[in-house]
Amino acid sequence: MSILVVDDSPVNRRVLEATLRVEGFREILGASSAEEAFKLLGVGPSQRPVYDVEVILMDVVMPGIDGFEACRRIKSTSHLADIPIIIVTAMSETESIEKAFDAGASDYLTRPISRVELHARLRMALAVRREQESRKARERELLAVTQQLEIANRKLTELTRTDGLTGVANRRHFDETIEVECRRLRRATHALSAPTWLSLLMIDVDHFKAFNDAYGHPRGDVCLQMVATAIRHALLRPADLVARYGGEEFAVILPDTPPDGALNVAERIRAAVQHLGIVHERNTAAPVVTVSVGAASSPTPEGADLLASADAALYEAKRGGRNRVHVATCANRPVA
Amino acid sequence: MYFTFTVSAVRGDPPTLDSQTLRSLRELGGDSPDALIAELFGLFCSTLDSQLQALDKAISSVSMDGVAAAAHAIKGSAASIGALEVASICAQMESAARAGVGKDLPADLMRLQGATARLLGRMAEIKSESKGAGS
Repeated sequence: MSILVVDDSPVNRRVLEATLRVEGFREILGASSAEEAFKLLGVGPSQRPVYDVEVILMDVVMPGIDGFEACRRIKSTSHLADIPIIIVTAMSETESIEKAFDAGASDYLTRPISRVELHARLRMALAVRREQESRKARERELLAVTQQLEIANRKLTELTRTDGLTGVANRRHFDETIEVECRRLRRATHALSAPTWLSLLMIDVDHFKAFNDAYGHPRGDVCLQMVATAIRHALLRPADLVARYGGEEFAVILPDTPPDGALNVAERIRAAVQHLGIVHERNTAAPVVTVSVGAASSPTPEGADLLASADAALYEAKRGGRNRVHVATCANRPVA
Repeated sequence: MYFTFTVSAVRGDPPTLDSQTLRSLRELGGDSPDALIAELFGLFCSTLDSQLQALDKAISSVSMDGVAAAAHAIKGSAASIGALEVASICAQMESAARAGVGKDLPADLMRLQGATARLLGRMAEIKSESKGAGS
């Protein structure tokens, strides 16, 4: 901790320094002008503080910048704003005291300076400063804890929405999202003249039970992870959502996607999974792991209807020989 | 009105060197009170000549701001070492200059020169006293 004495008179600086020393203050800096003080404190563009100053004793009448203006400039420098400044004045008129407080001074002393008074004012200024600093430290701590909590909350929310094995959305997140998308589309359809579509894909890994029986559950798990990743990479828009719907069943929500678009995405997913080349000798459709995809689209969807249509389409794809896409015939034609 | 503390000293003319102030300064000097006094006198004298010249110049060029600034500077240092006579004259000069009244300034300067001469004499006495006491 140092105390900075700003006074143009070397005699006054020396007297103040001696007084401060007698009162037990050890680190005392002197500046003969406001400009010199600015250099020590780091006031002004691209200046860095040279010393860590805890309190400033400031003379008023000085050649160049006076004590009031110096006080204002120091107080408007962000890293110095908390340093208490005690204005030291020979004039005891209320006008100059008012000016001192207007300039941001925290206290004042009149010359000749009494040792007792100096000591009391300094102790008070330092106590206020330290209280401010500890309060700021507590605020910083609180902020850090709050931020950690927010991160933890986000992670927790993410966890409650994520499938633990594959990292894609879980069934709960899917259920919420399909409802939100259906509502959103119903609102949009009322508002827009051009029809928009919501599409849903149901995806099932072909003969997955046989895969688990042949290669074991650990490899089954890895297979599901790879399939999930392949599906995720086949989706190109941020709004598209892939979820693990059941054991080896995945669902993809495609907002603003007409039937032909849904067919494209479905076909891309089917091809991507096959391209993984995971050996599956008990698959009747191919010697590698494949998926069957049922696609359904609607411009005025109800979540349950869309799911039923996509499920029916998936059943058709399975029945048709697996490793293929089947598009549901749409019950709800666009009204436009 | 500028030196409320002169009330606690003697009534009438302020002293050349105030003994009360000197005692306080000695207390600040700790183990070597005379050394601090000598140092402060030295600091005062080292700037006095140039300050008096600045004052003289300001008076002859009728710069009231200059007079106020120079008188204020001498006043502050003088008051700190207890040179109350010098401080008092400077206070008068400063307030006259701030009020824009310059007619008495040349006479004030003469008085100030007399007072500083007395002050330097007192300082020399005190120095030799402290040396005498020390030996």
